Amino acid sequence: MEQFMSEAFIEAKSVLEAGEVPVGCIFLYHGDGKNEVIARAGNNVNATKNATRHAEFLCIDQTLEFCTRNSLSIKDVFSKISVVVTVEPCIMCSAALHDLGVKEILYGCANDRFGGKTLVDVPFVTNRRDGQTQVNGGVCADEAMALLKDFYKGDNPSAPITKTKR
Amino acid sequence: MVVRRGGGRFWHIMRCFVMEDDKSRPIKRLKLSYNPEWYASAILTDEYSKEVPRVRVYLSELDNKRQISNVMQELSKMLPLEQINLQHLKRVRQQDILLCKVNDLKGHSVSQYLEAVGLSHDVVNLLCKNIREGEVPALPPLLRWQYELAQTCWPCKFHPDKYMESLQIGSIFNENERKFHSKIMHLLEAITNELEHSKPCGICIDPRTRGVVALASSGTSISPVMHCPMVLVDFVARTQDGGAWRKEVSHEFENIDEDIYNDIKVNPVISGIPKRILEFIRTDKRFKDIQIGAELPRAKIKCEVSDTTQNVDNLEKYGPYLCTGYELYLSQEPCLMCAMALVHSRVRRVYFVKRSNNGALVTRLKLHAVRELNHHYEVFQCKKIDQSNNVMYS
Ligand SMILES: [Zn+2]
Ligand SMILES: [Zn+2]
Repeated sequence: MEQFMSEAFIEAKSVLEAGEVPVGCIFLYHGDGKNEVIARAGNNVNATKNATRHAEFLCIDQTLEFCTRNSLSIKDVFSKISVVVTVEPCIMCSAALHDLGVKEILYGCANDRFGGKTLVDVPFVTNRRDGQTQVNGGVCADEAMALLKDFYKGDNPSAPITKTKR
Repeated sequence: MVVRRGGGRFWHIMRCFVMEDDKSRPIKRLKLSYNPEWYASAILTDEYSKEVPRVRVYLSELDNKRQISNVMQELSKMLPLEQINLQHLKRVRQQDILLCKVNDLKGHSVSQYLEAVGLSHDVVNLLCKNIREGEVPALPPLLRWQYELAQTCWPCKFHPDKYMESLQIGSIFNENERKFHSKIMHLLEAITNELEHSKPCGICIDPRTRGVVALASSGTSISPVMHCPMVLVDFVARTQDGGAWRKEVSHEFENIDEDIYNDIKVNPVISGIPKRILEFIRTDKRFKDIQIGAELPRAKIKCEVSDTTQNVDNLEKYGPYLCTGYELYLSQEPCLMCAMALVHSRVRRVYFVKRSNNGALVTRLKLHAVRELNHHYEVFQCKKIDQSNNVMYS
């Protein structure tokens, strides 16, 4: 999994220049016997002026396009997806991924501010307690944490009021 | 079950209103002549909406009231209420004296405990003559109704919080504001039923101008994550020259070169409202006095982190940024994904009509009660009042 996490890191670093919180995500699709990265993205909040444009959501949108392109069932594809993301998904993203029924979520460092696992019992609230979505953290956690810490030392240029925190 | 209880409280609230307006005697009918058809009821976090929890304590009944001042002196010095986290209580009720929490004894007898904290032998003897267990409020009452209930159990101190009190009894909104709620609820209802085939719909309002910033319905036929609130915040982003789902919703905003929509191209302030909804509002007589449009984002000003409770002030000071200071009216209680999206977007208030079975603002969770989050909005459920003045629940 470290190999895929390093791909997620590439995405995280690629949005630093745009002043985004450096979080990167890839979606790994386990279709027909092969593993394929079908979506990759970093946060995109500043350019869109939309605070919900977290890396996971961009990947969700790309996955929907993948389904359309290949005439695949959305439900089926999401159930065969491993989400690899550098930081624990926030409550919003975690809820979306549980709702979509992804196979698993693997994250780097924990997100004690907004963490979907740390703060709220997402499977209970979203009523997805079938245990389909496995959530595990700690993959390259130190690297992920270092990247975030570096970022928060500087300022987020886009926020006039408070820093957009993830 | 829960709903019924809410109903009971609502009537209590209505009476409060009337009594406030007419100090001499409550005349219910008085308020009804201009009663708005919708009523926004605050969904408070549990510490405000539930009875104060109780804790078991030891009480000592003295034979003689004259002994009270004697023992009190030593008690308040050696075992002050602060020390046992009951500083919100009075120590004495008639001849009863509050000694300590049952759980604090940890296997010792009351007299052993009292001597261990340093009370004199004589006082301990006096206090231990007639001891019984009782219950007292474990935490300070925050609202008057909690205070009144708590008082029946043990005398408490109470510091009323005017703002929270007004949220609870509903007096936070004046008549004008309640009329405005009704107006927006009418619009929301009409759009939901007449235009959007009962899909979940939402309206974003700038409370300073009372203008419609954005208006959206659920786009789940396009994408499973395009719930109404998610689309709505993206439409708000459009008014700030952003927006992520431009391709997905382009059909909602096309053909904008007709005369009446010419301004859309040059003026981003109505760019958060899909074309056919804009047309609907502009041509329907019922909505002729609805304000339309958002303030333009201002030039970027750098500033320091400020308190999120001054949400509207921030909108006033710095201009539109995400949904800062904005208020959302939703036909459905948002799910967890959407409720959190509104936290990220720094919405000021969320009004919703129907509960959702996966709702995250009251049904399965009160997300706005999660303290660790860096932003908290206020939540209201809008309830309809019918002709006979009964509250109708969804
Ligand atoms: Zn997220
Ligand atoms: Zn939702």
